[in-house]
Amino acid sequence: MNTNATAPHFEEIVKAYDAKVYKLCWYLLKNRSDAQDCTQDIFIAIFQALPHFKQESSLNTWIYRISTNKCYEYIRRKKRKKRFGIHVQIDLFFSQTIASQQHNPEEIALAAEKSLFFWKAVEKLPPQQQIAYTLYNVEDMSYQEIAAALQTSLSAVESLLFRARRKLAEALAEWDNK
Amino acid sequence: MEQENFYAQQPIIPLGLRQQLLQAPQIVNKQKKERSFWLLTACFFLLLNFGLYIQYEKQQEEAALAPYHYLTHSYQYP
Repeated sequence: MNTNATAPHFEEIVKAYDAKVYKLCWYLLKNRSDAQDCTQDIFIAIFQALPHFKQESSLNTWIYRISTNKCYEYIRRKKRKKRFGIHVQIDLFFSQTIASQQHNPEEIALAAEKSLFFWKAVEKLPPQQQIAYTLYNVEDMSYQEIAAALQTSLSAVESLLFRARRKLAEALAEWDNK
Repeated sequence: MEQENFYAQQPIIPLGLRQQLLQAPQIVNKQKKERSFWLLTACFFLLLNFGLYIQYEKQQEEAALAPYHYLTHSYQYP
């Protein structure tokens, strides 16, 4: 396919989805440079796959399918790195996700610790659960949309979200009991 | 968990991200050029290797036939 013919279309996609895709990568990878690299890889994959897009699904679903596949690769790579002792830092932002909702310094410090505890618990989830949970919370996607993005059934999404919520609730309960 | 929304904060989008993403067509073209270059280089060395092998085989054949030629077609042979 002619590159020039897809160029304006690709530009429109970038303008409409750059922030959304970056946000998804950011919440899944929890690291600025990884999120930026992953977003770049996603848009390269989108550009390469654009001539083959048959409009069988909506553009939104198609983009999220590519994004989740790439994020899945990155999460697995990150887990492999961890196994070899290379630790990728969680950005400071994630220790402050609920701290801004507090008022006094002690509560802010506690909230920061709790945030970090929560995100570490999220990191421990299997990649599919992480992705499903993030899509549900960050993008406010419906179960059907998540199923389409992950190329799985509705019941599988329900199960993924149920297990993710249960594990995170257990982690937070453990925090509260400390 | 309902009271504490860990996903409420918006991440800061890096400056120049859009410009970086719009470079995708150029990156893909560059990757294609690089891939063709390495493919051509690999093909060249493969052909060179094959050519040298054929030449070596020919030389071996000629070397094997040389004594026979000497014995059958040489004036020095009694």
